[in-house]
Amino acid sequence: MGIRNKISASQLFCLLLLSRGVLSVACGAFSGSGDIGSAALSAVIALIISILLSIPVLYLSKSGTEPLQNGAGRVISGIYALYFFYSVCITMTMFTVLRAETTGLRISIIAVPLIMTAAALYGSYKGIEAIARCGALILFAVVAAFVLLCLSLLSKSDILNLPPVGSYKLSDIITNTVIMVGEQSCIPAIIFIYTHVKGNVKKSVVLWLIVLFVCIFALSLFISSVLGDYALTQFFPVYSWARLSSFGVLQRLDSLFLAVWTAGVFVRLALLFWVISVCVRYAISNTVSKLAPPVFGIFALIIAVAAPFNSAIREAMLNTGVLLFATAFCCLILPAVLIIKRRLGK
Amino acid sequence: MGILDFSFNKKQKKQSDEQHCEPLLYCELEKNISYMKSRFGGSADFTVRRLLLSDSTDAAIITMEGMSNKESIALSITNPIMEFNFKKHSENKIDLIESRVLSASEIVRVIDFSQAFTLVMSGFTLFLVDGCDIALAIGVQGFSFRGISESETDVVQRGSREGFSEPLRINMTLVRRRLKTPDLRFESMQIGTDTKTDIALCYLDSAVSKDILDELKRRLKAVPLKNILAAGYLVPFLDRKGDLSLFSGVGVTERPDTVCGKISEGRIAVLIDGTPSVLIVPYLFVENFQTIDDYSNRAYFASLTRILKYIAFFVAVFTPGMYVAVACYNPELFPQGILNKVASSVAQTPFSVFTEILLIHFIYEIMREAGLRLPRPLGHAVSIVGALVLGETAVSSGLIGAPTLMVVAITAISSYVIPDLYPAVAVLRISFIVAGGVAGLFGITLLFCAVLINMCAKKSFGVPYMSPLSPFSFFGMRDTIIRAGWRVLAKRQSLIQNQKGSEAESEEE
Repeated sequence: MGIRNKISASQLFCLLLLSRGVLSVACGAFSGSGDIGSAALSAVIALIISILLSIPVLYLSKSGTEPLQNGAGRVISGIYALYFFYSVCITMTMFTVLRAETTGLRISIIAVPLIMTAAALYGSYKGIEAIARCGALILFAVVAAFVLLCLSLLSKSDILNLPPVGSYKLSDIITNTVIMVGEQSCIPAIIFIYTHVKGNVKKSVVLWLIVLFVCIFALSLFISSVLGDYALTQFFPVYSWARLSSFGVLQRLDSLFLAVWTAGVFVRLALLFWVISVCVRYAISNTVSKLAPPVFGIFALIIAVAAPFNSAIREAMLNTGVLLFATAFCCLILPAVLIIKRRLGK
Repeated sequence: MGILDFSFNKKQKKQSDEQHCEPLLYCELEKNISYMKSRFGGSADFTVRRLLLSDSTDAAIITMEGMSNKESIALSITNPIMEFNFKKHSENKIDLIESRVLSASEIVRVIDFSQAFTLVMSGFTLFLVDGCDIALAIGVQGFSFRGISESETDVVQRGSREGFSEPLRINMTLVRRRLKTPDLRFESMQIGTDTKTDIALCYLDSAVSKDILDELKRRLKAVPLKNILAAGYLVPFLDRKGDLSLFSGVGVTERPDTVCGKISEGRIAVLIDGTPSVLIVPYLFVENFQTIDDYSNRAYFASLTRILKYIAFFVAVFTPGMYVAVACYNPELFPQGILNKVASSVAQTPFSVFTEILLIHFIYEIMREAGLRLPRPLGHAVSIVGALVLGETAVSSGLIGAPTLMVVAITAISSYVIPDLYPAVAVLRISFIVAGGVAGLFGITLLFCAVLINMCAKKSFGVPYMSPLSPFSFFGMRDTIIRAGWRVLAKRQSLIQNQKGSEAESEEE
């Protein structure tokens, strides 16, 4: 019985949608400015840019992981590991900031990120097949929860809350587009997942980007129609939107939102830790790759726990400019270098 | 060495191998008898009956007391041998006795002591003749055993009342009687260096995956135990090494109809001599929610009960943890009426909700364990003490809140809906209580994610344990959360190795 360790293209779709979707669920967290309705327009622009960014990644992925495992490729793998570590830090910082500042729960500030890190590390240790299967089940729960939330808030939705299209500021649209594109750390991750996928990856990636931005577009409009100008004052407008929900005798469904969001973050972190271990395996060795996720995890945990108390760390982690640059660098420059290297090698 | 000391270390194994390397049978009858006597060390049940054949040759019948049927020995061995005139025949005595004298249907030629010991201790009668270095083991087993009766653990409303018994051969017959096809195979093996327990792998040759069958044989051959006294001894060796999961990829049943259903889907049953529990591999998570009654009832009702079982599973695992998390960190989630009741209950009792629920669960588990081991009348007494004395008094004295007791009661009842999963449910329930108490809903969600990924990573003989839920298979869903009608199920046979993501999955799948 051979070990195949393969996931299907549809599982990849679910994994990417969930991993990227959890950041969008907290969209507006970075900007804190502008109308959330402008995010709907930004989603359309971000979709086009994301498809463009994924082209070199898919082109590189087609030729396998060999270019990443020798010479300069090893250095590039190391850079990718640092980029994914940065993504882990951002995700965990968002998680702790939302939990500590918005939910107002009396839970230890260290306990939850610590459990989250431990659980995600355990998930990454179980491998991509397990993460993909788990991701598919959690995505189902997330979709069901959001359908429930949307249904419960349908009565509170008012089309008059939506500002007219012409009133959107260009600066807000640009800011939101930058955030949406910057958050696309799943695109470079495809380079490392590609060889583990059976089926049509290109189709899955394009479908993922379309579904993702359609969801962001629809969600942004819906949130704007419920919250109106109130959304402008919120750091996490989606959470604020969820707080207004009620269903029958259940008066507050924001806990449901937090539960599914936490599950989504778990899958995202597990995937990122797994990708980090693959990067380190290509860059250094198999033995070190097993140690890398816990080491990076501890650093990410320290940063995430410190973020709610230290504005400098938080600013650094949630800086949209740096994020966009890092993502563009990893989606365009590094694949380009590897493609050129491969061509020269031939 | 106590009864629980079953494991080997390498040195012990070497010594044991040396001990178990028995010599070939001798030509001299006396030497054979004295060797066997010395190996049994004067054991009280070792019996030797000496005979003098008609040509004045010495012979002996060796049995273990109570293992063979004395009437059969007399009718099929002693009488024919004593009445036969050996003087008229010049052929080899053993050949002559085997072909012309004995009337028993099962005769095995034995050339060494190891084989002789195994057969004698399995109820065979050993016949030795002076001057022959070959013995005959004659199948006249006659030990007493429990008859075929209804299984107490796999109870059904409709369907057969026959359950497996302890003797392997009878269990094999129970399966053969239901599956009258030459495709049905039984492969015998012996495991356990001391107990030499007979096991039989039962499968349908046309349905089974050869990869899974080979893997099962490999794992069984690698079992390092000295004693196999119950089916549970083998389960850890059939699960993948380093699995570390609360859930088992090996199913257990006491029903022959269940075994027949499973093997017709490509699974393999492991029948073990001395126990009515039969192991089934590969075994998936969703199979814990399937019972033979589901297929006897109408599809709509079977689907309803199936859904109820899934709900009961979630209630059994999550309710106490959720209650603790919500009561401690998110009381706003309670509807107003319930919130008032919970708040007044918490205010009147000395313990926190977390301590209360943990305490009651431990008391409940202790009472359950006590009730299981006690004789039935005493078990009822324990239940009365538990329900009336502890429950009623604890609430009325203000030590425990009524809502907490209610939560524990609902949880306890729900956990019995899926008895196969009780061990996992009990451990998970307590873990979720702790997670809920420490980190609220975040803790519960994260523990759930960790358990879920553990289950998703698990494979039972290369078949994903969570299949067909994940990897999702629409075809597999017809008998998962709902049970489709027989007209739909009969359209296409589903084989276990063809589940999505299976390592033994055929290329065309």
